[in-house]
Amino acid sequence: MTDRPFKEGAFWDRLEAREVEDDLRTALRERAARTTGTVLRIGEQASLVAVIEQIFPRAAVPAPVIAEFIDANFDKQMGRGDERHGTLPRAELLPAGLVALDAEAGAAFHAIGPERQRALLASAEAGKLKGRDGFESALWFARLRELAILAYASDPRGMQEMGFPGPSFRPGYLWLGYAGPDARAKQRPGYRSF
Amino acid sequence: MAKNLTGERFDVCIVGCGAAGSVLACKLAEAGWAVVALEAGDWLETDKDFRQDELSMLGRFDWDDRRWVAGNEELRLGHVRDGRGVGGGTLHYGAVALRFWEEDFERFSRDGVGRDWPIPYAEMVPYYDQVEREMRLAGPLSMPWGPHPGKYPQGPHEMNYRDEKLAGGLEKLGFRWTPTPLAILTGGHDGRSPCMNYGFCQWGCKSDAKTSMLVSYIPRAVKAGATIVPNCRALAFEAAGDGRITGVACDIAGVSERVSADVFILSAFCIENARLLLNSAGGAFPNGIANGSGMVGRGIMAHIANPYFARFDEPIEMWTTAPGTLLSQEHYGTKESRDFVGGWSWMTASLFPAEFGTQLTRSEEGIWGEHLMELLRDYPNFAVLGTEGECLYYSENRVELAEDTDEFGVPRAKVTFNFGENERKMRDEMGRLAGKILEAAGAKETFMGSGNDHLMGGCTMGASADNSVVDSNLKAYGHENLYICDASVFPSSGGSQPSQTIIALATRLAEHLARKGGARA
Repeated sequence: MTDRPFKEGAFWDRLEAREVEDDLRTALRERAARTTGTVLRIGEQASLVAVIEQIFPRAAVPAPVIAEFIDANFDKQMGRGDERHGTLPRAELLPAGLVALDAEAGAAFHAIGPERQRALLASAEAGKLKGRDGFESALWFARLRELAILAYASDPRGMQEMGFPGPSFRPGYLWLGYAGPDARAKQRPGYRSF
Repeated sequence: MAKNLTGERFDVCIVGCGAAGSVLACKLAEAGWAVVALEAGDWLETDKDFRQDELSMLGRFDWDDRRWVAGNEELRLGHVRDGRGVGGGTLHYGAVALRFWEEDFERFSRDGVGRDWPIPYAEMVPYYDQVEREMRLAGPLSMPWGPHPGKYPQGPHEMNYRDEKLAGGLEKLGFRWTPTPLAILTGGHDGRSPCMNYGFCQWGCKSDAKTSMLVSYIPRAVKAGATIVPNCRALAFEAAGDGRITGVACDIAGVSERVSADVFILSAFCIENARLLLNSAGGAFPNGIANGSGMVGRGIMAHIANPYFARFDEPIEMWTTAPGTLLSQEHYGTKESRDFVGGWSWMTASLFPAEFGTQLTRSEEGIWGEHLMELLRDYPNFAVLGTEGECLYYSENRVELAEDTDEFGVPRAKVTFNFGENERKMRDEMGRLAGKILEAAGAKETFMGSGNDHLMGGCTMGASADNSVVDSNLKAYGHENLYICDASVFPSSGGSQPSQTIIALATRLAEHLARKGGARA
């Protein structure tokens, strides 16, 4: 359960009202329609899903959906060009982290208990998880979380859980109605879009 | 569309169509020069290609090729750092339009650290004036600080609730504030819409209200006959033994081309400028073009850009205007009372959901799990106060060529960047004051992030060929027909956004070249 359950019809109606472009509306619908996902490249699906469930517990966007997004994009630049010299490039960094988690756990990450999972992730965030040469666990944790946030926050279910109304083209944000000083005056406490 | 350029000869070839290159293409074409401008990225159309969605736009106009970074400061490159596309960084900039202050041009003379500019502020004034008029800046009637002499062409942007709250915090501490001068129209101009408050300025302005080069100087350049070549990657300069640049080798959609011109202007921003010059080593120039002093790539600077998150117990909805609509320069410049040199600007910021989550989680350890979810669900209640703090010139902060190469066979860039003691002290003081401001604004909780922004330097302007790459007219030492113009020539970083100074420098260079002559017309 979330504070702001996804209001399926209302969200799309509002996008229609705002004349958001067809291709973007289609993309948003596709993102929000996914309930499961497949991990093919980065490592074991169950372990990645377990990591995400620890980072995003009970999120409006299902963990397997976020896992699939990470699997599809972990080796892409995604707007970021910097890579730390002397460390694994991102294409190798994220898979190496999943291997390191299993190695430290002495079992598959998804098979160990939640307390132990959280302890291992805390260790990774603190830079203490050991891995192959060039592996920096704090960097791994940050990059994984960054991708997960991108997956979550670009999904209409995540947007709505965060209280964000989505794209605002053409007449302005929903609560503005039509952009103008009078409508903008509604940007005050107590006036909510959801 | 690939264009066959080999065999043609131009008066001027400009490498890079960002804040500087676009202005130069426009001004020189209007002066009758035969202009070709090469741009590595796409030529996007605001209405057709821009989407108000973080994921859709990610990488669309970011220079996000792999670059190696090293040093004590995590240098973020790519989105909202370096642009790629006709318009360059102005496609993603927040359009904050401030002049540097007089002291920024005299940092070494005044404080004994960093470097001076070889030109004084007074020489820049007519160009700042011209740019402010041409870009129809929207700003307050007067500025409480700094050198701006009069009112801006258009009225200021409306403040939102975020601005009201943070202004309240500043006022309680006795700090002055003002609506920020922005290169975003508040009234129509030249067929472009006034700002619609979409808020997505840094993901591509859909209304054309933001004065990016794409919708302002580039159309003028095209109208005046300039040839703009998108998706054209400049690979290396070719030089004669006497230093004259004879051509630039480039790749246009997989086809090798060579562009000839009488004059070349390099405006590909800090990292790519240095990379291109260093990759042009050979013959009489074994250390690279314009690198007789060994200074190419040195002196990279980045602003101290810390996001300070304030969580309120009521909705703020920070994203409802352009990001930087409120400004305070109360702590700009060197103050005798402080134990560091230089200062900073305070500015509001807007972060959309994904960027908000990314930046917030970087502010301290432990933001994941239930804690993360609780914070994300309170997103509307957050406001962000940002900074642009001065970074001194350190020659050790530099761009070099790495051992590995990209898909064009050009060595990747390696950027070594450290903040020094001065920046660490400034960042501490920023954090201390930010905490007080946010508390005074009524925040119930704060998160003190740290970061950096706005690359500058790497092809430093200076009076001596021994320690500089270009002279005061931006001509490369040792090369009669090569100029470099963008933030890479800055000898100091100032404590505010660099775009107006870049555009003013480009306007000045265009005037210099046009006066010098050389146009076929």
